[in-house]
Amino acid sequence: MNWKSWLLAFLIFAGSCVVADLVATYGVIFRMPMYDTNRILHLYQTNLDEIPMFGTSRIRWNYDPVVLGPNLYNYGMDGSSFEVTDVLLQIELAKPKTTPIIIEPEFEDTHKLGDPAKFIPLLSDARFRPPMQKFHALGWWQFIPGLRYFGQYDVYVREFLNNRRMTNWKAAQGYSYDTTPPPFNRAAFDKLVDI
Amino acid sequence: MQLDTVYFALFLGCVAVAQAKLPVRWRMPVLLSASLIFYACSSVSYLVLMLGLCALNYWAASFLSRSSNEQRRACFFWATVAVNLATLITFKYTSGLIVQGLSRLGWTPPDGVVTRLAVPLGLSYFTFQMLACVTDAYRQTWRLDCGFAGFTLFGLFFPQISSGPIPRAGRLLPQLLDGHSPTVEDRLSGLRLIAFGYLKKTIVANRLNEYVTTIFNDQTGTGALPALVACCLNVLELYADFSGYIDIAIGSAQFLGIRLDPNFDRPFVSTSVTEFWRRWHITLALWLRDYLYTPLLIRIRNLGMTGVVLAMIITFAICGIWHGATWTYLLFGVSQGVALSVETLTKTWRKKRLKQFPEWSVKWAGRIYTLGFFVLTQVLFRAANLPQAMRIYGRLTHWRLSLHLSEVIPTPFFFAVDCLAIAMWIAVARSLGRASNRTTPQFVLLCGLLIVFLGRLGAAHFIYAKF
Repeated sequence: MNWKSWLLAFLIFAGSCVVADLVATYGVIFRMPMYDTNRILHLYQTNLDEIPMFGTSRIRWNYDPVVLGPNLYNYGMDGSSFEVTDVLLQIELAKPKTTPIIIEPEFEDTHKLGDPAKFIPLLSDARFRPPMQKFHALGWWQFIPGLRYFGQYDVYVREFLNNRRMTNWKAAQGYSYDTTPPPFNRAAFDKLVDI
Repeated sequence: MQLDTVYFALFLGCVAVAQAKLPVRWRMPVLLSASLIFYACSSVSYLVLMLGLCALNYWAASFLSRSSNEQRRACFFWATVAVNLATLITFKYTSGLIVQGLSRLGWTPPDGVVTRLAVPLGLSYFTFQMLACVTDAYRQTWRLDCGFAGFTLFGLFFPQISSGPIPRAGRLLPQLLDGHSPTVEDRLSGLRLIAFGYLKKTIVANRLNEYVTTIFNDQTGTGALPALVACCLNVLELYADFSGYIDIAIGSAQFLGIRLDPNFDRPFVSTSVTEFWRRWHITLALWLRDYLYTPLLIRIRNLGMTGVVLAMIITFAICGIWHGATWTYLLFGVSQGVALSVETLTKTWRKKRLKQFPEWSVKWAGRIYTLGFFVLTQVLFRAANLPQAMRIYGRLTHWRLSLHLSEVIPTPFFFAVDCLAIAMWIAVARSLGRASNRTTPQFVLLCGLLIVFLGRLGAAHFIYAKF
């Protein structure tokens, strides 16, 4: 067997994986302000005056922190169960703060993690591992740089393209919303008024 | 230990190193120990059961090979067949029936109980192997001339124990007992097959599974086009999944210097269902032909063509039931049997009538008919139950023009990536045919990169592992 060819093939494989990892992390994931990973990363900052709002998609899409106050930050996430909220709460409670915390925990539909892709860049924090393990989304490769995004590359690219396409959307204090006014349908309005 | 895990890759590597470093006379004991460890990783108690069955079949096969008393030979043969089948039926169906019965009584058994009643790893394939050995020994077409250790290795050889291919003793046993070391060609072609098998599983089967599952589980959808696309992709998924497993199994065996029989031979170029079954799951089809269809046909040969039709339908009905004790599997088997019977009955008539058409058009029409038939009948194979299958068939008849694209392709981006993955699979399959020992590193590199960047983690392991 030609060991030089095998070594070269391995080096090309490892190099390609590392380059793809860097591109995915810094060129794709970290460049999506509305993406959950970046919203969680904001939680790691001390932000002494911040009042965090934790919860599910109900918080994510319905509670505008800009309207509620300048110090609020929306950490609500689609499909997150109490386990996920619990981890975010642990990070928040470790801070030297006394500000209130708003929690909307999901107790009824608890068997959910949401999209596991958002937690992979954060797995260096061991607190994210138990919920991933509980929902069978944790793999050994997720601890190897270059291989950790196996099975998720297209998920990140899709999110990135969606973010780029949503030019009318605005993100502020963890909340994102469409700035385009909804189309006004006179006929539908009149019909509703008649009722 | 599933074949699509890194643990299996490490295990195979360790076995190969042990095989290469130890003297030639240790080769068989190394493979036997590896097979026992592989099985013990699944269940130690079931390993004891399998060893017991190996002992029984070894004893029966050696008796049938030596004895000349026809009456006693017949008694031994039928008794052994009965024990093998009773074990298979007990584990494959009874546990399911007990769980179903308890569920109907309103008591859901805890997970631990269900796990304890699970089918032992590869019991179906092991039973097929053992029945073939005992039958061949009884027919005196094969003679057992090895020790118990060699026979046990044949029964539990780890690359193929989970889901085949079903080996024949006459071809596999001599290779297992022979002390030759694998050549560089064996190692490299084995590696290429393993890489290609993983590629099929991760970038095609796992990706398509998400789409097909979404459409099959959709209770409210009504359009025919999404259902048709899902049915077509379902066949592609099954092929990629099963042939991916088979490639890994054959590649692993070849990596250790053992040649297993092929299980697929480009099934989608078949021009009839009869030809399709000569190209799809070849080892099972041959087993059914040799040990079920032919003996059955001999018994009812006085019925003429009716006997042929009956034998075909019974054989395929049993084949369907073997997959699971559900109406969907039974109907799947019967439909295959009926198609084969119709093709057999109309063979002369078709030959005469189709002579007037150009050969290429007959060939393509045959391909479309075969594929269409398989796509439709695979709905029964995939559906969780009869109502789900009927819902899909109902959707297929519900054509309407005002169909929104989002109904066919709910996630266009992922669908586009799925198409790209299928194109990559075809391109890699072509390059597999051209790959040589010198280009193996490049081939494995290409597969590795495609797996990492386009691969998906499946919700489950190989589809055929449950059979």
